[in-house]
Amino acid sequence: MSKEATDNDKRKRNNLLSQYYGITEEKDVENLFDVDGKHFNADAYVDKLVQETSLKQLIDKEQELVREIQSLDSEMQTLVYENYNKFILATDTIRQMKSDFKTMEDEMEKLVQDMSQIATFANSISSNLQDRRQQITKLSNIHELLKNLQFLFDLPTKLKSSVEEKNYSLAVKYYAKSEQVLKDFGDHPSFSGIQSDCQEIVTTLRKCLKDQFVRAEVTSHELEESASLLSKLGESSTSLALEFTVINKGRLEKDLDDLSTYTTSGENNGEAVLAFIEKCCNTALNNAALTIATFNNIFPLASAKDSEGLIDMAVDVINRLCPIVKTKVVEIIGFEINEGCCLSLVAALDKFHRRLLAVQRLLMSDKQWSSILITDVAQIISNRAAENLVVKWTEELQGWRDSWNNDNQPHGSVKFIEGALIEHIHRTLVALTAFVGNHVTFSQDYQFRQTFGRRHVREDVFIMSLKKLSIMLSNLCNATGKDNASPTLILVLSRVAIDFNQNLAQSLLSLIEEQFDIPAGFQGDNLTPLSAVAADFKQASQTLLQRYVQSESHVLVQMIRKSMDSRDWLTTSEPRSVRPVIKRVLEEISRVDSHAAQLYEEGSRKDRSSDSSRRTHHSSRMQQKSSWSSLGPSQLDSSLLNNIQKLFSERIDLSGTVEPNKGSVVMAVIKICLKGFLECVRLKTFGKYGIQQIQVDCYYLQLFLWRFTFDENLVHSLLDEILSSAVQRCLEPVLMEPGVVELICER
Amino acid sequence: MEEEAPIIYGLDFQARSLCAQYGETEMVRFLIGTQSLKSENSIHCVEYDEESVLVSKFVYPHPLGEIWQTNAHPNQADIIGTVHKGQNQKMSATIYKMSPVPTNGQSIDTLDSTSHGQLEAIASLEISDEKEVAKFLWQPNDGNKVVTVSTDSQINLWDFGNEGKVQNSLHSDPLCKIHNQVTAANWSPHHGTNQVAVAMETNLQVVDLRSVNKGSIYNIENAHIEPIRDLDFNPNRQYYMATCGDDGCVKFWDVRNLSSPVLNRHDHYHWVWQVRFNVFHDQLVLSAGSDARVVLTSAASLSSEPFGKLMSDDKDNDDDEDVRSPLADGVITAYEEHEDSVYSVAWSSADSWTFASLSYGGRLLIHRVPRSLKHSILF
Repeated sequence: MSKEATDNDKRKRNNLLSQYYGITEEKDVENLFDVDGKHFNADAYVDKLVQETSLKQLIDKEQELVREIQSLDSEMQTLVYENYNKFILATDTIRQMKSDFKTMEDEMEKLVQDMSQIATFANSISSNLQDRRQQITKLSNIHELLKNLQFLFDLPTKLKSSVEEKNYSLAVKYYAKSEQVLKDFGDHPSFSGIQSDCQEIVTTLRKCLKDQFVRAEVTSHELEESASLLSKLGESSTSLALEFTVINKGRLEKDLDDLSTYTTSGENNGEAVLAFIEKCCNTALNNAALTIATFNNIFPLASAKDSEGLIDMAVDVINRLCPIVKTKVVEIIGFEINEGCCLSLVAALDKFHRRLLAVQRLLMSDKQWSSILITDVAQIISNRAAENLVVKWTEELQGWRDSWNNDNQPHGSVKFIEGALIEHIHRTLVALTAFVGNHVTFSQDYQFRQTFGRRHVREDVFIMSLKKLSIMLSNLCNATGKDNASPTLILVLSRVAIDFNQNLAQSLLSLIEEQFDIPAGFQGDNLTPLSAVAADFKQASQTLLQRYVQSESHVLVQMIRKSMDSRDWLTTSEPRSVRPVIKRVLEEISRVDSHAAQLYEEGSRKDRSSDSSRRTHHSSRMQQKSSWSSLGPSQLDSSLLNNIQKLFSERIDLSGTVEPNKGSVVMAVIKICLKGFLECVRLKTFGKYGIQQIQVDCYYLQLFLWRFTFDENLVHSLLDEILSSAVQRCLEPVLMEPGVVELICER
Repeated sequence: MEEEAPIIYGLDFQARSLCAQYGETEMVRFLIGTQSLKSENSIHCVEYDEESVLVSKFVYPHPLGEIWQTNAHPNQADIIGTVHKGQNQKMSATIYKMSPVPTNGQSIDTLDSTSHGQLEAIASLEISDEKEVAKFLWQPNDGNKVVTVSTDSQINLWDFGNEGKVQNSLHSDPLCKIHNQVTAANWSPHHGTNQVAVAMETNLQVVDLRSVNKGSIYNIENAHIEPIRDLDFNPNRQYYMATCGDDGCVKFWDVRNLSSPVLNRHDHYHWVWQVRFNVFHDQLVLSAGSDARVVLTSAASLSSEPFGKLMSDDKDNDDDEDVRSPLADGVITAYEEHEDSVYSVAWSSADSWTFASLSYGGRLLIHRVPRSLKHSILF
């Protein structure tokens, strides 16, 4: 075999095989040197080997190739042998099969003959059986009849058993099925027994059904079932309707009882209310509706008289339900009224309202249940909200009173306190706006909106709480002892009261008018005019201001009094400086001045004098003073000077009316303070240096007090009076040289 | 309410102390003690004749210095006690016999108006050299005992015999250990005249003279927020008293419940220096203050007279109807004629509708309560 031929042969075989196995030929030129590859080129391979390898390698390679060829040869031989063996075995088998098929053909022929024989037999049999079949049909008919009869005979037992099993509808079905037959053949002696038995059982059945009808715990579905069964059994619809009404009344009353003893477990009031209303709707209200619906279902042809009883009953139930709902809702919602609980409450009420309206439509009643209920609840809630608000305010005020820090700046505090007060009322109002929300069905009623807005929000909440606030503010300053409020707080509160008087109340009212659909500035309908509230606040602020003046001057007078008591004025040494207490008093007055200036306007001067005239006035006082000091003790006889002076100075008005302006407040404090000083001076007896000390103090006060007041004359006349009283109470009235006094004071 | 113009009497001296001459029961007569460091002081006896609307006076020079308190004996018209400060600048108390004094019912005009009276010192109530007298009190009903309270709140009880003998029978420990100035004191006419009230600044203590060192019977801490200037017992209801003080308030107390006053009036604009019940009609209360005002207050709800209950029933219809409504608590009249601080006020002992008030400048005003008020109380 030439090598080329082998090659070709081999390639052909490979192609076949690869075709068979679906392997597409790859044109791989690189594999020319792969002995096992498809494109192996022996010549090229040998050339390559000869070129590339050494002799020894060549020899080795040859040996290796020879070994491989030998082994491949032997393998091939074995394969050829095996295949040949198999082929021989197959030939044998085919021969065997050929002989077997022959016998089978014979047997098949025999089978065909047998089958035709069977067919003939069958035909003959069927013709023979024709008669019998008709007889059997007849028999089976008779059997059916007998079965029916059997049913009739069994009816009493069946009825009995189904009654016993409480399968009433089946029983009624059986009875209805056979009733006609029994009626038709009732006079037949054999049936009459059955009939009487059946009657008996049906009576029991009826009784059972009635029992079921009457029992309280059955569902309305069962009720409906029994009612319809009873009417099938020929019960009169009027008596049934009556009974139905009575039964449902009992059931609804139980619902009402349940509701009126309803207790909540949850701590969230809003949710508790929702749950309660849910329960109301699902029990009493729903059952009422269901009762009416069921009634209409069962007795579609009920007379007006029959349904009247039911409707009366339902109306009665709702009449009683509403107060229960009111009490309970109000009870559950508690006394803390906030926005969340109001929203829930309104949602709950709205739900109830809608359900109630639906029921009302069923009843065709025009009663105002829900609107009365909601108005009542709204009123109670408003009152509570107002009470709450007042409580909150009280707490707030007490909090400020107890934790007042005297370093607080009045101006900021006013804003802060007003903010907090307004915040509380805002919160209350926001909570109450829930009642007039757009999505709320019942608030679409104009009547309700009007009553709620005007009577409840404006009057009960706004007006009442503001009135109470003004009372609270004035009461705060009446407290003494432990509950005593800081003077600065009192001043701050007086400003708060004025702000309420001037604009806060008005702006709150505008807000209310806007939110609750009240025409702006509306006055009719017996509404309390805002001016009444404003007047209360004005009064409160007046009281507070007076109280402030009292408290501040109380402290100052006490300081002065203590300082007067603690010194022996007869033997005191020559004055070298102004007493510290006087400086302290001035500091306090300037503090009062700055506090008042933060909150109040300057106020008008009594007689507005230009600066220059004041200066001349001032100097004239000085001249008068210097003329005093030149007077000797003998000339200073008290009464004359005193009386002459009295003629020129006006009576000092200490009355407590304080104008709400800075000047008036500070002046009031100064007046009371100096008057107290005067009284203290009159209780003492002075020596030479004692009076000089008072002279120094008075001069110092005069130097600094004028800037706080718009009525210098008054201050001067008070200071003069102090000094002249001191002179009268002096054993050795020798005043200091004004120059020395000035020197001491300016030091 | 119509006002009757007051009678004005000027003294030319400063004066703080005023009292009625209690021993005189027919003539309206007041005693005034002047307070002057420079001139001689005196007791002015001022008589007011209602019919002639004239004021007469008689002067008793007081040599022992300026007078801070004048206290007439409750029964004897010629006995007077003063608290005074002399040259030694020490507050002392002395009991005098005044002479001459007209007999009861006789006008002061019967005395020789050109001459001066005389004050004969019967007894000087000296305790020791250091102690100064703060208050002097006659036993309210028969005046045979005297109490002086020293500035350190020591109470001294003196027996005052008919023949003018004075004997110190008791002196107590100071009521208060802390140095609080005694600012007011008064002697209760009730409970067998055994109780004396002493105010130390803002606190009030009431002691029983029989057990004076065993502490107070009751006390009112911080009765006023500022010092108490005066107090008075309701002469007819034993449990009621009135206090006044620098806070401008007059407070009425039921001593059985001292937690708060039964009535608190804030009618003065400055310190209230004196408060006085009318002895006959105790719903009428006078108060005087350094706001130069005298206020006549009604405390009808605390009065011993059952006004409007027993009497108004049968007379409601026949009398004039304008004043029939029951008297409410509150200010009846505020008198503003004074120019200076009013330190003292006194009801007349002879006419229960007349009272006098005294301001610092020495001006004495004699008022009568408004006639309509008088009618509404009487009928």
